[in-house]
Amino acid sequence: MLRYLVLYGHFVRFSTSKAFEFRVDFFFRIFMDLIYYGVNIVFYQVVFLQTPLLGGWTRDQSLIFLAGYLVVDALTMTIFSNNLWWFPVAVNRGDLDYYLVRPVSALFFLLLRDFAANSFLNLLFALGILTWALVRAHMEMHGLDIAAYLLLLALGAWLHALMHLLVVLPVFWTQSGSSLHGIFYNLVRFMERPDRIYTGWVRKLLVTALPFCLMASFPARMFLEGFAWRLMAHFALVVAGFTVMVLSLWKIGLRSYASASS
Amino acid sequence: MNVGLHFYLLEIKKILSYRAEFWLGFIGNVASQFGVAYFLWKAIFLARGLTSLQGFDFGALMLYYLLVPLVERAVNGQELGNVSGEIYEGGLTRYLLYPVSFFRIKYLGQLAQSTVFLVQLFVAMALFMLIFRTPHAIGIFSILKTIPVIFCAGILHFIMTINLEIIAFWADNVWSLTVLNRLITHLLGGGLLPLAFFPDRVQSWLGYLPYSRLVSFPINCLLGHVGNREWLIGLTVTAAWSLGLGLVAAWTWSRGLKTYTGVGI
Repeated sequence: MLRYLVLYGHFVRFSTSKAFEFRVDFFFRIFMDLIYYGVNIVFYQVVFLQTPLLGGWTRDQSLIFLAGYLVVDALTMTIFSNNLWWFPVAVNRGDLDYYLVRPVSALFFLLLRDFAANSFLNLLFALGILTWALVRAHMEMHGLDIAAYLLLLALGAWLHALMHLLVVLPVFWTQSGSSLHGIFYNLVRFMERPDRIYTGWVRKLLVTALPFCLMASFPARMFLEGFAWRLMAHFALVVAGFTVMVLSLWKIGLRSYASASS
Repeated sequence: MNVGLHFYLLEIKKILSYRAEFWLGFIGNVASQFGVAYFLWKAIFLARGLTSLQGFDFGALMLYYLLVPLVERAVNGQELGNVSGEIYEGGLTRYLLYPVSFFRIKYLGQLAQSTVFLVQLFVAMALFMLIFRTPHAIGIFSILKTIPVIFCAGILHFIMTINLEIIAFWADNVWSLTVLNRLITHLLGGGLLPLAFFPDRVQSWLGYLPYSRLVSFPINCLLGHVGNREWLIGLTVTAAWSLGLGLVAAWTWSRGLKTYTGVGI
């Protein structure tokens, strides 16, 4: 475990120094994400000109949900997104060979090697937005509640990464990379809104087989409406289930991997 | 055959060569944007027991949201980094040597994409009206008025993108700037929300910016909400923005060419 932590420290150091070689791009990317945050905040402000409640939440509660979503987004962008973006390329070009021969988990290398330093700064901004939303809401809350909320959001980010990995893993058999990312980013749109706006079979799908509504909505529900064992059990089961499923698929995929000709 | 026409037809062939990926991408993008909007506004209409919001009943609002990704694709095309890539990789040198205009070729590439996406737009609209038997019928006159609007909006979008992409002469990556432009256009152009939902003062301010000409204006033309006078004014404003930003691009381009080494990354 310690070996992996030390290795991850090296990944962070190397990625950060690489990011600073292209400083203009580094700051452009930070600016782009800040505009993305601004667009989302403006969207909710305008929507709440038309309605006092959205999915059972007031404007202030929805802002806390939105800030939570931005934290999940920034976490995944910082830790996983760049790596997952290049995952199909590594499989198609045979670059996976270099990871397989190393004396550490190949999946660890593939998922975590590139740390997005610019997105880390955006994570700090997202946490700032969350603090602002919490102060605005004038809610009674304890440090422990906030810590639990952040922990659930981190689990949401892990689930987000699992789903992205699940969508790109078929590259072992299909050899087509870019269209798989497209499918994932289309589905991500569903997590940007509170889960209770969805109804019927779409809602059932979005909290089970395609659990995009769990990533930011369930943590926000448990934070805003009080801890609920049923929600927590549902959340934990889905995260555990997808972790097992993705790890199994990864192993099956590796068996089909045929180096550069894959 | 004329070189431009040949290039245009070649681009269309290229777009259609990966048909499964092309249609899957199209359906996925439209369905997800429309799906999220459908549930969001359905929840709001139901919660408030409303029949209309800012002049939109639920059916009209859904038609608007169906048209957003279709019109955006028809106006924008899909390629980012088309121009900056040539600068970074040194491919621009070819155009400086060959007797063809760099911008003409690049614009024809976008026009080819727009043509294909425009066909998709009309196919999707026909399907929507067939399935939902909507009372918000779109007349042939509205369609005829919309085609030049989308064409002019495509030119404006091309020039706006060029202005950002030629920063590649000085910056090490401009991809984020073009994404940023799309984000801003989506919000201020009326893609995320119809502009009628913004406060009145903001709406009048947004009317002066070029973004509404890229999304909201073509959709309103298609829905028959734009009178002849307003249509002419809209086209003139689009042309004025295109001219102004075109002059800025020409000036920046001439400065950038002086710094261009042709080495590539």
